[in-house]
Amino acid sequence: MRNTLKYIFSVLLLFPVAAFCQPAELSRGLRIGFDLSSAAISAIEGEGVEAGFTADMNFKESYFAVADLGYVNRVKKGPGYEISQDALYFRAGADYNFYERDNDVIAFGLRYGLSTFRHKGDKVVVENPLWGNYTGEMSGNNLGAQWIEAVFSLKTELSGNIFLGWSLRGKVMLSSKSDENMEEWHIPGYGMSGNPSTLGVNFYIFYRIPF
Amino acid sequence: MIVLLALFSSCENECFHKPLSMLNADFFTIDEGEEGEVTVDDVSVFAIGREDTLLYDSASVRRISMPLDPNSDITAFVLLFGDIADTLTFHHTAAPYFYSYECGFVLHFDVSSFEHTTNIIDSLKLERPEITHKYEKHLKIYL
Repeated sequence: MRNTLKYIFSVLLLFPVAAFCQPAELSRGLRIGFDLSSAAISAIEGEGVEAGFTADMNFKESYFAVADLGYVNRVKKGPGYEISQDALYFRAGADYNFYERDNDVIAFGLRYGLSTFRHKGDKVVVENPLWGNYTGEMSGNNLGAQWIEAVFSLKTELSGNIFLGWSLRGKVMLSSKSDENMEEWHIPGYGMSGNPSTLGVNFYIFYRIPF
Repeated sequence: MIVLLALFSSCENECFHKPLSMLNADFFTIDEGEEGEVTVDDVSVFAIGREDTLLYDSASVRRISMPLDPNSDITAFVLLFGDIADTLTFHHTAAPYFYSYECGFVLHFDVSSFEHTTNIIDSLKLERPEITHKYEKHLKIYL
């Protein structure tokens, strides 16, 4: 795992730089990506399902329109509780590619991010030495957050239309709606809640459907 | 990468202190229009329904803390001043509050109304009807 990622990382960093200089030729296509990092994290944590997808398409010479969609379903168990979170997040924005060799992309971009989620206490047990245990549930609340991101990203074509890439995101919260009875530990798509800004890294594998 | 994964993975810590939400009441007297906190001697307190457990046993107290029944919407306490008794009855609702990952949920109460007898107690003043896990002053008992 570690070596593979290290390899991917080095390849991604070096490959475009080592590439031959060829005249830029705009090849259009819709690139669909799967977020390997969030899938890996949810597999390691074993607390639920997390899946993230991204799509981009160049609409002008060096500009790409980008949209991401993610789904999160987490269950967390602890002493006397079981809580769950169900979420969708969405990002939209544009990238400017300042590296125009082959089909590789090194880009800066901006995104608007939106997350809508619901959490609840599926099992709540509170011990009371005088009155005995309280057993109940905590009903769900519809919550949400909005943020903006500055994104640095890199994509490199491994072989015909298959790309690997990563993106580094700096995120700034615009607004959020939280539950006063249960603080959200993690805002899907954004990161740790309670922080006015967060950093995120995503690794992707892409397939480009050429036109 | 290992560091990143470590950041994302949850930390399993123990619960060192899980607070219990209690209704805190302080004793006051009014002397020539001036109210003052007092220490009361020989106070015993128990809850109706749990007469077997004395919350205070002939104690000398400035403040008493009373645990409300989370499985009911009414809790009554008997306060014995020597051998004279007064009963305090509270009507309330309970709602879970997520305290921490280590400790889980606690309960918060909202006291909607109260009644009391007037053998020793003159009156009550509910200053803060929200009973949370924080140690706050909720009720003034005037003797």
